Amino acid sequence: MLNPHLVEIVARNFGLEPAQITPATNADTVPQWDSVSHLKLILDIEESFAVRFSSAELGELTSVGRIQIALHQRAER
Amino acid sequence: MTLAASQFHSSGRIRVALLANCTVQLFPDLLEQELRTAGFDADIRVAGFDQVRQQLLDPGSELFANRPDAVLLYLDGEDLFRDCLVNPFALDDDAKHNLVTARSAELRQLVTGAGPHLPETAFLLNTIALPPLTALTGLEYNSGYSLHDLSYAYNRALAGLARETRSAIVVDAAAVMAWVGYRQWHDARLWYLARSRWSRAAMRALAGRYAAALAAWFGRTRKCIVLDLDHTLWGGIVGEDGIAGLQLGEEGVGRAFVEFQQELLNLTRKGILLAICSKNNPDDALAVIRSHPSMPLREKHFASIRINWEDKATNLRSIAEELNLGLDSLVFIDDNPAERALVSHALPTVLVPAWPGDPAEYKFALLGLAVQAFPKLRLTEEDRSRTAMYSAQAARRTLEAQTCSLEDYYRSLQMVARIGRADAFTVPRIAQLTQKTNQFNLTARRYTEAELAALAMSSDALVLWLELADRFGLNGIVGVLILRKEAATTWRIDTFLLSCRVIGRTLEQAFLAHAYALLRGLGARRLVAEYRPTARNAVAASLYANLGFSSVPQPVPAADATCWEIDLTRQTAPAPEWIEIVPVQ
Repeated sequence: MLNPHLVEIVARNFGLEPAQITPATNADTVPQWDSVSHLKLILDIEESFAVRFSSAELGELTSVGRIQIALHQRAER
Repeated sequence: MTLAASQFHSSGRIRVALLANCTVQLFPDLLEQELRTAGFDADIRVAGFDQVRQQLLDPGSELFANRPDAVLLYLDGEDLFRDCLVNPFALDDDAKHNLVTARSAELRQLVTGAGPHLPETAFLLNTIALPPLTALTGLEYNSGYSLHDLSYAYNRALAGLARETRSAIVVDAAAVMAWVGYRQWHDARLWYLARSRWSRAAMRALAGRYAAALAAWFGRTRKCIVLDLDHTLWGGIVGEDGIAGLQLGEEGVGRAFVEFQQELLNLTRKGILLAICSKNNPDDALAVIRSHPSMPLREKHFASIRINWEDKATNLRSIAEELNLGLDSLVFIDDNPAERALVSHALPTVLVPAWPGDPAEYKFALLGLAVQAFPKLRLTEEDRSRTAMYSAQAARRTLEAQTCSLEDYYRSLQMVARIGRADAFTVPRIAQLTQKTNQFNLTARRYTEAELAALAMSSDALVLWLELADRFGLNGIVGVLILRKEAATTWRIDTFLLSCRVIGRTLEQAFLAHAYALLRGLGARRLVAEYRPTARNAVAASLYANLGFSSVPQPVPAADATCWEIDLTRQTAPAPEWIEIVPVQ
């Protein structure tokens, strides 16, 4: 089950319908998901969830599923 | 300067070009948001990475083709002086001096070179700051090694450029960085992954400052700050605690109210008006203002005072009316959230900022608010003396009430009108008047300083100002008349405006009579004019009819403007005898 706030942020950033978004939604399947919009997305998520990802994570978090897992790991700490 | 361009500005639509020596692709969204808050609908174009020289030096570049209203040219200090940061021990004083001179000369060349291609465009430059933690930390100031010298000398050169070049504006990015704090300003991840020098917090703060600079450039600023008294200007409630029981003075939090008032006083020195709107017994509250030993603000600092038990929305309306201001010129400060909610609901165009509960926060809340609501790039003589002028205005109203006939009143004012042509000294004030005057403004055309400077040089235009003095003092430049030659013997009134402070004193007759004489000297036989109605200029609707112009059909029937003309070969109305006109060469 995807976090609805995460879904909302991804949908807003890429102009998608929330229903279209799955854990598999990623930079390869969404043409608008380029390097600049990726950083905007990550910065939006960091602001909304009050978290900060490492520079390594910034490069790796290129699918909704991976972002959700990273957020879970933060929440469990 | 075309008419289309001036309408473009007053509608709030602007074109912005963003150029930088680092990645700024993450910035336009935030900039657009901040510009929208400031009342602009901005079309922002970003030039490719490090395209500064290509775009500004090539007259055929995309930048010039788009004719932007503003060019934001961001040069980051860490990029400008990268080599020095890599090895701060390598350069001696001479080499550093030469480097700074070269960098600032290059910037000057870019701006002054692009200027003639974009005569109406504002160029927003930025001060720089280098990281506050470097290999020289400790050595800086104590040894001969320094990085600080670089940013200091570069910023000094920027200030020189801004003073010489009207269209160059410096945005103090270094101050924003200091306010945000370098560790919040700089996001190392974004630097390494995207070559962005800014964190998101930095972008937000900087976008706000750019928006303020553009609001100042286009004259979109508010004019008056309306203040509550109890818990706002002083601590406590005068009606309950008494004058001696208030928190105001050197002790504890009383100092916070004193410093808050000192900053309000500084606003009056920048030409911002203060007013009071308080629910109180007038005698109690006025006693504090007149006689409390620790009040920096006194009655003379307030352009309008409403101390009564009426609701605040009604009082704000009446303050706006007294000062001849629109409600959208007011900012309302009250510690009470219920009063703020009532005012922002009843008067949505009044700016009602959220206000801190703790008086310790008041001073910086005010300073931050002033940057957004009252942005200023340059001060005019009128700005410096505006509050005194409004106090004199109150004295004039008293005289008007005491004088029996209107003509006696005009005579008793002993008005002297100096009229001259725009020059470098008067252009800033004339631009300010075209941008801010809403009531007695026949065409409501808005001009920037650059546009007016160009117009004043044209042989087919007369840009005239009128400065008024009377027995109560100098009013400063209060009238503008822009005349354009349309055909060999036909001239047109492009702009005719009077500051709201001097409406109803027959100055318009005197100003026009003088203009008729000047135009006859230039061989004009016919003067045409138009009145373009706006939401606020009904006061001037019948001006031309009253001054002997005849109505003519509109050339373009679409607009709701009315068109007028007067035959200059016939006798025209003379200046009223109670105004002495002094032409200034």
